[in-house]
Amino acid sequence: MTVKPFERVLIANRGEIAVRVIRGCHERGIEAVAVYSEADAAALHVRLADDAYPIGPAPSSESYLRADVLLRIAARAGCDAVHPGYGFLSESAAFAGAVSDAGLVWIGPPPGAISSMGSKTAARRLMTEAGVPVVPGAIDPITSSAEAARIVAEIGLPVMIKAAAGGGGKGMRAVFDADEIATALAAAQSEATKSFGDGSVYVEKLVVQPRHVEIQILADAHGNVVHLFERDCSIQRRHQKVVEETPCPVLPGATRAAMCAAAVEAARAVDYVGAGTVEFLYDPASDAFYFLEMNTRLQVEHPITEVVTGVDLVHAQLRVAAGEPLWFTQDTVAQRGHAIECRIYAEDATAGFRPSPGPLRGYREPSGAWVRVDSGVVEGMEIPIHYDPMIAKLVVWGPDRDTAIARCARALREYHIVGIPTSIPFFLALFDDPGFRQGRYDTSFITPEWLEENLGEPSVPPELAMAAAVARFEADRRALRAPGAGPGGSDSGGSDSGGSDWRRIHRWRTMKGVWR
Amino acid sequence: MSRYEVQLGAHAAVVDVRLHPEGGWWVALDGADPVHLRGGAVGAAEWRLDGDGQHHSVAVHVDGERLSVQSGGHGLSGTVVDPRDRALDALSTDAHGEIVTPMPGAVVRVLVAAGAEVTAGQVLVVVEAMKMENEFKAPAAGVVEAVHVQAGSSVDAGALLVSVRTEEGA
Repeated sequence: MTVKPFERVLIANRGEIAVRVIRGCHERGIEAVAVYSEADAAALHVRLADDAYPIGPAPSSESYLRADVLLRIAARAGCDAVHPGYGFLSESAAFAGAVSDAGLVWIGPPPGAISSMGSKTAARRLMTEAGVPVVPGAIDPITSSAEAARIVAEIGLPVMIKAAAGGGGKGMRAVFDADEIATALAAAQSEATKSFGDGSVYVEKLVVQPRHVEIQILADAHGNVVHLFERDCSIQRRHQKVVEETPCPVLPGATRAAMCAAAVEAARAVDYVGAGTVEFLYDPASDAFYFLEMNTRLQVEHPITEVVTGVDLVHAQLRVAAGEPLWFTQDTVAQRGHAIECRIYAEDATAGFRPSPGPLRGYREPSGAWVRVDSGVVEGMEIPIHYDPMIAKLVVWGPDRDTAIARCARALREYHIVGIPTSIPFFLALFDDPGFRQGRYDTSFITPEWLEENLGEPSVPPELAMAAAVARFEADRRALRAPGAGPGGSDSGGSDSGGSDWRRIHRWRTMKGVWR
Repeated sequence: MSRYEVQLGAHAAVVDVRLHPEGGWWVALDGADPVHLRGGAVGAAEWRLDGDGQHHSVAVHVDGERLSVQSGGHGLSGTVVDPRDRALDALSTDAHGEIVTPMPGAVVRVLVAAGAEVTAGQVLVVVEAMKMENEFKAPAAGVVEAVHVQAGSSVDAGALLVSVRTEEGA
């Protein structure tokens, strides 16, 4: 395979990951072409790219998921490769294939690896063959409680009865006692039928209080596969990660080594190329781990791995996709210190993480030594309602976990976001929790009760009220000094949607057009 | 003096503000003795206030009556209301956009002329009464049909100030 570095890469994504990839391209002397929906015309990735193309209306089904439009733009813009980021089309084997068919390089794994890992049953079979531990159980559907009892006798209690067509926690029943098997089976089957139109269920070992630990791997097209250690992603809300750290604070060294080796085997089993992540359930009680799935793309939380290993994963993706062999070997990579990532979401942590899209009236990111913020926003921008509510990722490094936590809390307190509620108060409460500080947590750590108990009422000091009144007083004075100042000068309404200044000016123009 | 009702979640305060002759403002919180504060806006959504040997840097943004703040990492929203706006809104406008003063006073400023396009909430006329400046605003977007007063003139309670042909009325 010849090495041919890219000249111009299409970034088929938006937000912070588009910015991240554009920066990686620029650092390697590659031009980056952005695409943007109508909601993202002012976004940072559009401003940073060498060229940017509108791609359609705000809903992702009409823009960032339009494979045909993306390919057309790639051709028109003279790109020689496509980077999909994460989400959207990043794990679409069909899109990966179409990119290659169009004569462009897909900066990601081969379509075959994507589809193998995309099927729950195929992945489980492949992993078993490769000697990678999977959650004990039988993925073949069962219909009777006798069958269920037989599997339970084999793998032991507790178990989970799961819908084969399932997802999102529907059609799932935990069984802790043999007497509950029949009832749980019936309940799971009925729920599966109602939710997915398919009553097939299977039985799997239930790992109580598991941790979500994943291994970053990197493979080239020449058969070299290395791992870049683990990330603990057990702090989750709605089964989605919000805080990640590396190393995992409770993983014994021998288990880490075994897990990393298993991940490398998993990647080899599907002839993986590029950056990927093998996710495991880890049971600290028994020190056992089980393959969950492989994410065949760059992960949101990749920066913490970059920070402790010094390997730039986007650079690595670009080099490996261009045909370069890995330029380092496993024994030269080490985990140095401790890294933590907080996903700063436009979500109201005090209201059960309810999405809170809206304008960033004030926005300033924290900085300082060993603080990294990956974001795609700037002050004045609106967090759109159409996409993932992530504003930014705050990533910090410290020589040890305690220092990293303290640094992260410091950066969170510096983070200036005015206009919308965010998940920042949650992180501050988390870092004060004695259990978290000792590294004791699992995927069910965040409960409504925990939030209720730990996220106190925000304090409203008197100077806030005084500053608010002074700010209003000055705004009123400005409005008086500037006759015909027009929209927004001194708004008595409160009835309109109150978008950015740009939007208000836009509306103003529109109205003029209507009247004349 | 201007009086504002500040509301943030469960918190409410009444704040009086007027200019201090030496710069800055006299600010009184909930009827307490006014304190002399100095400072100003720092960036788009930050204010620096100094007074009584104290220094405060607060994350505050005001857009009309809409208030956004950040406190202890919490992003909070609320309102800063001039109670006179509400009173005037209730008293001074009818459906056709006739702006009437409910109190006698002196017209200090006229900010629009006939034919001008105005937006909802845009200040049209300022009338001073009892040492208080009262802003009369357009009730809705529209076009100014006529201005019935001029700066310096005195008005009686019930006097017609401005006629606005509003979008709704048109």
